[in-house]
Amino acid sequence: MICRFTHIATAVDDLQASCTWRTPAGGEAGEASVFVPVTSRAYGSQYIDPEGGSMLAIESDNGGGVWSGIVTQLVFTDGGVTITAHQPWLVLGRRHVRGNLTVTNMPASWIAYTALQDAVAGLPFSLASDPWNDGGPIIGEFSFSRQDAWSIVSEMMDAGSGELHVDPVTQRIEWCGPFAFASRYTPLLVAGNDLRNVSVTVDGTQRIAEVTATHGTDAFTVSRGEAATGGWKASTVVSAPSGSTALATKAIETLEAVANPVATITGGVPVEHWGIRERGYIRALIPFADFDGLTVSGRVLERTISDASPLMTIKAQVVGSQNALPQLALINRNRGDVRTTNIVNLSVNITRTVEATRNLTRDLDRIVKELVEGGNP
Amino acid sequence: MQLSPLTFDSNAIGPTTDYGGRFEQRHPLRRSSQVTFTARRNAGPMFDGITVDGERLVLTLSRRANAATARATWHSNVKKWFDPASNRRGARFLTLTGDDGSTTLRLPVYVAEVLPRPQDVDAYDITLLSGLPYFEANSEDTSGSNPSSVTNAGNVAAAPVLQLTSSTHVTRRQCTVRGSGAGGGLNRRVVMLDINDSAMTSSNVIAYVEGVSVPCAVSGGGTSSSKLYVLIDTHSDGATTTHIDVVYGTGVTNPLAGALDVTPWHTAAFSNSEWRWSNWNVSAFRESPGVWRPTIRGNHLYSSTRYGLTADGSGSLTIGISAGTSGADYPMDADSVMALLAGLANGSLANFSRQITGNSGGYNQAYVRYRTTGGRWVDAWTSTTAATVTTSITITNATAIQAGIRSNNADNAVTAALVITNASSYASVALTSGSQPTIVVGSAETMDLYSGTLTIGDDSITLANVMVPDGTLTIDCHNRTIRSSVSGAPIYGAFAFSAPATWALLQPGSNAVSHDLSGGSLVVKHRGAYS
Repeated sequence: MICRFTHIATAVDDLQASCTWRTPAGGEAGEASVFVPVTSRAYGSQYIDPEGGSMLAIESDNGGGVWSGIVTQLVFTDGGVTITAHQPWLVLGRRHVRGNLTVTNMPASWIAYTALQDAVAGLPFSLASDPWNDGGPIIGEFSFSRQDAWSIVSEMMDAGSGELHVDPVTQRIEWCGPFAFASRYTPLLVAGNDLRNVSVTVDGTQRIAEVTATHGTDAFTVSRGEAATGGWKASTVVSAPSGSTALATKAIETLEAVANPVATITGGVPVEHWGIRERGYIRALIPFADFDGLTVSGRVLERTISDASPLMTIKAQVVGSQNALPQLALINRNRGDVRTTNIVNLSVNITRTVEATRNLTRDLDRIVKELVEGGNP
Repeated sequence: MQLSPLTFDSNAIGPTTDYGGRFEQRHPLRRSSQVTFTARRNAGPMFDGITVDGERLVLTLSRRANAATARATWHSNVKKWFDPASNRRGARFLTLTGDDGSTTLRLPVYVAEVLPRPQDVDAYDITLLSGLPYFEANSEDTSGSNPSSVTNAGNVAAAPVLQLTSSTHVTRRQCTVRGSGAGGGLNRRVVMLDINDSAMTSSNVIAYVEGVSVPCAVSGGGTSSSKLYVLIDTHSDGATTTHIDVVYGTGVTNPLAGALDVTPWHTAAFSNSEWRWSNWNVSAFRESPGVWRPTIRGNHLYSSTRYGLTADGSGSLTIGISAGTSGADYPMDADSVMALLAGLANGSLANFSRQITGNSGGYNQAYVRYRTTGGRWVDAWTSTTAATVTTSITITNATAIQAGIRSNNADNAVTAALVITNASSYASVALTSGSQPTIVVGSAETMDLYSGTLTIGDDSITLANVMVPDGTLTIDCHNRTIRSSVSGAPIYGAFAFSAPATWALLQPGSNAVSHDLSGGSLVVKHRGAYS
């Protein structure tokens, strides 16, 4: 693969490299590794800043695309230097936003935009010129208190379906839904030929059986009664805006979102399928998976290209299937965001109320009845 | 098996040619496999699995003494024909005759090495690698349409190629949505697709957004004015399209059809630039434009406050504020509802009856306000008077709108409530987006529908809701691929195999073949397999 360093415009094509693209929604920055032998013309400070921080671009052959990032580590040995670089949004975890600003009733996307506006000044990013007003739920109250930008962006991604996207070539930052700018890959990838060395991982530990939504001393708990979660009776606590409706809604939405186990497909694709991109969608047929076979849609969370392998490794999250519905229908970050799953035997526990919400019990009964019967408030 | 080479990559190399090809090993192609076991304490070994390996065979070429081909040309041809670098183009084929000396067989091979014999200036040992553990007939057998049986003339199992066509058709509409201008990316936006085809009903439709089946809903199903609703995201550049494939027709089943809750929508008046709802009880898509959501901030101590929107379908909304004990109870708004608006919404907020009740002393103020892109809230209407107001409210370039009540004299605040009702038959937010998305509904295309089971000998393949553009669907059991004859075509639906490891095999001799695909036609291709 061809490597370009910001210190010099000349491309270097005699280096061994591997690179991994990841989508920010997964929470982990992709990385690249390049070995520069002492015999290479790139072995020198005119190409590589010995203190790190150089921008590195790697152009894949066979249409694999361009990877770009920031050099984060150099390991010198007598044979050469091994360079590690990360996708540039890694630095958002080390950039801090303004303090002493509290906003109310703003969309999650606007809050993310504001955080990034503070964080990316002077960095090699281009931020979309208009604030992003259309995405995400309304956040009742949010305080900017010199947190790192990534923690805010991550919190906003958790709050709704919007997510951060950084173009790997232009470094343009966007806030978008999971289907925006996420191309479909139409060939059916069949395990064995199109998709090599396939494994399908089903992780049931992220299923939640009980969710408690809290606001101050208010709490609202919903639990899943069916046997679907078996012996895995995990619980979680989420914060919600005030009011019984908001508490109930948040608890039930959260429970729905974690109803199914997280399933991922990992495999290698030959060069004819190197047009696959992270955030894109594939369709895959895994005849041996799920006991009866699996024909599914998957969202590509990461992909890796290496000079050492003829295959591009991809990891995709299963987001929908035609033969096992209701299944994951829409996605939220790296976890299934189930909008259609039925909650069976929903039970509600009012664990604590404040005196002011004296009609809460009556209201909750009504709310739960409406939610279960489909008449959500 | 006694083998005699005929050609390599279409070049004649047989024993009677100038190239004198031959196999000096009696069994040039071994059929071997790796069988693994796990030892068990106090029990026999347990079978783990089997791996059939690729094999190698050595082809010997020697120039005949009376060869017409010049020595230099002979050597040049051998090196040219068997150049290992040509493996990059893929497997090449060696043809040969088998036991009967007449049946022509072939083997896909790669060249591993070309080794001149040390003691012979005109001879080479050429090592060939093959991933196929048997020889296949050089000629392919193609069955007629829907054969009742297929015969494998060889002596080992062969993997067939199954070609399907169908006269059972469904309709595909390729739709695209672009965002509402630069910076106007849409997130989980409801869009309405004017399908206008009576063939689409409320249950026989599947919506694929970027190839993923998503919840959808239909209004006017089975009529010429049918419409489909889905949630989509678009890119903020305003140019990149989001793709929606809508597939519908008799025989299509989809658990996600109707899973999108459109009950509160006033579908008769809904458009892609306006949002109208039959009552306040909109719950399905709280992030969608025009959906009112509670934005209660606390300190909502009013005893009759409804925590959120009313749910009785009456089309009224009551939000309130109570008497407090100190100013600290009312730092900001008390109760409110808010709606995000896609793009920049303009127009009149009509049919929006506001009634203030209570509010003795006028200490509390009801309001309707809106916010522009990145801007502050702008009050569009405020009142402290206990009265009903029905005048329209003008909204300009709004990205969000909010209605609520707040205290403007906290120390002496008294209870008050804002009751909003829909003055007409439905609660309307008749605001038009100034930059609504561009939606294109494609023309009708024919797709083949396959639902049923193929039975090939002892194996079966089940197809469920498999839909591909009109053409030929090829299931290659040898190469393990499924392809459409239409370039770039998506293949929707599911496949299941009774034998996931081998898909389907034709055993030596006659194999029964059948299917129950409605309107389907099957052609089986295969090459007899020999060892």
